[in-house]
Amino acid sequence: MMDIKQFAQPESGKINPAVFSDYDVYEQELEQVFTRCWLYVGHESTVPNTGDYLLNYMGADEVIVVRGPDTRLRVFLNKCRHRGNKVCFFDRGNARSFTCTYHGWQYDTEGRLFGVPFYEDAYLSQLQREVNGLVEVPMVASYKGLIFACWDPSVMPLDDYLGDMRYYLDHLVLHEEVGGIEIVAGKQRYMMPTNWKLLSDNFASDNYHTPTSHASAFKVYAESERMRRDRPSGENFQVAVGYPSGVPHAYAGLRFLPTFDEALERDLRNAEELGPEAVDWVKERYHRAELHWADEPITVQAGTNSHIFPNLSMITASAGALEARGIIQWHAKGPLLTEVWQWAAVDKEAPKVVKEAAIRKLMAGQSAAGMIAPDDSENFERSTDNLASHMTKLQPFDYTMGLGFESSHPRQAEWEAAGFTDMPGLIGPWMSEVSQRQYYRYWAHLLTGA
Amino acid sequence: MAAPLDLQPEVERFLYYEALLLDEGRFNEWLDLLTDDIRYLMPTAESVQSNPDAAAPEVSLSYMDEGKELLALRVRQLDTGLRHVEVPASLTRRLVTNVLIVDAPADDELNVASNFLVFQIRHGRHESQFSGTRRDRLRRVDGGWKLCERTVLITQPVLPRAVSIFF
Repeated sequence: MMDIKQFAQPESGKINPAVFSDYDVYEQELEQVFTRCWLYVGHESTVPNTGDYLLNYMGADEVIVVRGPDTRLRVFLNKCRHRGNKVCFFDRGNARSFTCTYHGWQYDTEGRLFGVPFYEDAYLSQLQREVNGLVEVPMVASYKGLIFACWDPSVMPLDDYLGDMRYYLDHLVLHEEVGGIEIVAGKQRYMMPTNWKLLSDNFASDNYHTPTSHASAFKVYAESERMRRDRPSGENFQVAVGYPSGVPHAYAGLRFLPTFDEALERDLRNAEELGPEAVDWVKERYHRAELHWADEPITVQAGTNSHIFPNLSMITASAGALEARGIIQWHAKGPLLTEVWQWAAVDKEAPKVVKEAAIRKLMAGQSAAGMIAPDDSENFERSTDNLASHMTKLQPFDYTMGLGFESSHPRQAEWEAAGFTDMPGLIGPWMSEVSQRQYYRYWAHLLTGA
Repeated sequence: MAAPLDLQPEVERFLYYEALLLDEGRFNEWLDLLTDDIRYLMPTAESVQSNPDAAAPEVSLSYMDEGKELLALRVRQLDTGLRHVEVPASLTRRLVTNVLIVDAPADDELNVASNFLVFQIRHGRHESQFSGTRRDRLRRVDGGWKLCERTVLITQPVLPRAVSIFF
């Protein structure tokens, strides 16, 4: 078995590529990461009624997220207790019960085994139905609609696990002050031939790749008058949440501004093309936001990409009133293959014309067939091609950007004076690998216990 | 209006020529086959056990939902030479079959269904296949045909790779 401490040395910025290709490491991750962390399993808006369910994965395990008659959300392994067959076969839907198609065992939406064919003749009424319910994931909790589950009963509460990330989720993703979000119907799914952690660490804070990886998109965007006009003022930052020893999450491309005026002006300009309903929505949304966040001397108003440990990412672009949010999950399928799931979240109370325009914009950018994501996929395919070779494994990847300057950047005093460093988490420059080092620090801790 | 079957050869010729342009990377010529008001839609696929009480979704996420302006922007992106996922260009071969003129919704328009299988190869060895069906609306323009609406229904619920080609 690989010595993780030797292969992952995030404190010195060295990660051996074997951790991205080794099957043993993947199996350790299934045991030590995906069973001990809070994992995103869905959004409450997609399972509003009794019997509504959806399927997702927790690591390699397929689970059913279902709302019971008591309105509680429960999460079960999609697995019959008799021979392990699946009991739920649709991506989502509504059901009164789940029935195995092998021998016909039937479970209700609270996981209880209530139907066993030939119970008297075959089992002589001896089978204990009450201990043969669906295997239930013990910990289920929501943060403002985002549902998480965890196999470890001793895991810290979800609020503590998310920590300072909640501030950024509140401001850039969830927007309860304007009525919250809904996840719209439709889910993108596509394969990426690479290790899931490389996608996570890219979303955590790899802004360094954007000018090169996405050069073609930025080049044609620059031809667009609107794109030039909508460019926000101010400087991009990133935040490392959980620094230096907690659960690492990250948000990148943050902009801190004292008022919403600039964003309001931009969104009003673009809303005019969508009609009066959109204009009214923009005015109403910023009015409510200003009332709600009035006490904050500066507010975070943009955040491009973010990551919640271990495998949930979000893309929020300018986080304006006309934007959808992409919710992305990286499902590991072995060490060298990832199945990407992407949903779209929109402001629940926005008019239809705004929701449609927001989703169209998301699809054209960071999306399975967009102008951004496929170029990432290409780069990961090329680097993964190199992972399986012997010499590759002898040379660690370099994660040293910003190492040693986490709290002492040359411009630290300037940022402190502006109040930026008072924001939750460790605020740092747009280009830095601090969040990636954090990611592998916590990942190695879970695998080694150290 | 019933399907005008005598137009079958013309319609097939249009679709095969379109496939040839795409396979040869002649994207600007391909854009000329699209009307200015085209809607190019590629929905996602999910299996849903429906709740009869559930209302139809107000909006939904697709893979693509674009008009001419955005499709042209994509072609310009390819033309930069910096669209890494198409450098070097994918080798593609499009097989278009089951061409069926469904009906004629207007004097100068046809609804046409067709199936496709696209082989895509990158770097000489990474092979993907996309299979699907298309619901097209063709419009007679200046004696020829142009595409004014396309819905691409990919058979695979999980796409084999991120999409960098047109269907």
